[in-house]
Amino acid sequence: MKSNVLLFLPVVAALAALSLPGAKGGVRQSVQTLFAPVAWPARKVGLAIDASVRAPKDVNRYSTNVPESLDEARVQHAMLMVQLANLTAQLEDLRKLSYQYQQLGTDLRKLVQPASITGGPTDQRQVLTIATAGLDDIRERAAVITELGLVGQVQSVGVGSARVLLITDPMSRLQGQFVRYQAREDRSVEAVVLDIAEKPLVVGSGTACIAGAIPAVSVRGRLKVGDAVVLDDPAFPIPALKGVRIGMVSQIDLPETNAGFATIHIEPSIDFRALREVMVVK
Amino acid sequence: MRWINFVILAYVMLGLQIGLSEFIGTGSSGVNFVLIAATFIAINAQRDPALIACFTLGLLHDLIGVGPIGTYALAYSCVALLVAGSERSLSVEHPFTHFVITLSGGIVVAILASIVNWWHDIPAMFGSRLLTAFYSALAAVPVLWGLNKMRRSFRFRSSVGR
Repeated sequence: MKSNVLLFLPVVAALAALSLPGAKGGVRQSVQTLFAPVAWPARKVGLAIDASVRAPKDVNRYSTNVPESLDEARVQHAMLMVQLANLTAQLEDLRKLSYQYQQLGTDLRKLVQPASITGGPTDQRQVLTIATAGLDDIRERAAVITELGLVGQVQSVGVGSARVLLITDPMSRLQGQFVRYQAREDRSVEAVVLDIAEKPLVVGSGTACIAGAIPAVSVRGRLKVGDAVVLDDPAFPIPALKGVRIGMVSQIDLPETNAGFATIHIEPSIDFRALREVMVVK
Repeated sequence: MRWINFVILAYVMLGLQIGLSEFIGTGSSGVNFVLIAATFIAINAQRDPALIACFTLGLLHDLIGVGPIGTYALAYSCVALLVAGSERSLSVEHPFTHFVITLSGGIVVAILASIVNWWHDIPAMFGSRLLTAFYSALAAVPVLWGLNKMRRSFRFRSSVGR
């Protein structure tokens, strides 16, 4: 008799599975926080092992194959020039940030707070979970950045943790601007805003971002793979972050005629799976 | 079954699932530590406590995951019904038994989770779930070997499949 009574458990589970949505972000974070005494050290161990396994791959990523033909060498040279320009621009940004930091003194510490990551993105949702214990006044829509660019925005704040919606999540929508980094004669780099009529609306596509519905006529011949996309969104809660890098153009899908629209694929500047710490900007 | 031991096991396995799942495996596939715990309970406990325990494990797994609530509760309950409800001739201590039962449980989880996802119009990812079943079955061999060493403290039924 008892066994038959207990059979209602799978039936209840089946009804729930077919009728209820997933756990809400706040509930999930609260439940996950309960398991922090085990999950936190386990994650530390996982990160350490992952870092030791990953290191050789990262080195190989920047090594280039020996070109087999002159054309291949030219293509490789062009790609390296673009990479160099981007890296130099990042260095310039870091110098500017460092200068601003010195000018602002300790006040910047109150505006920008470092936060550790306790949960990474999955294939289903592009979100990060960050530990907020010890941080002051973390609010929804607060921007999350690293030195390499924009990570996302705080979506919900729970007990001891917060969920960050990554720019690659399909729910993320940001207005940006196409820029190209060009070397000056004094070897510094300037960001030139490209003359493209429409500002791109950068939408997450799961693992990268896409900017669609841009008239092909304004893109053709002007935009190139390797150009950068920076934040330029009047609705973004922190106007000071205008110009923060979102990613780089990795592919341009153009229609055959100028009548249609182009789809721009944007590769984020940051490998979100490898992130260990981020900055939350109030 | 001694329930305090089950609570500790569930706490540790769910903690490992939260902390380690993204590092072990490839892409969206990885080891499902909660499935291993459910398999351990289903192999050793009697049907009723196994059903309650697996349902609880599943419900907690649903609460820490992103899928519809009830998916894992249903899947682990079915694993408990299939494994704990059968008369077994295999040795419950043999590593091959652990591998096969965890793999079978993983396939059941993959099928049910894919159906639920299809129902909610979410990508089913059946292939990656099957891969998760395989990784979990591989990991189950050492994990269940270790858990078997502590089996007495759980006070399961006296003699099953030995």
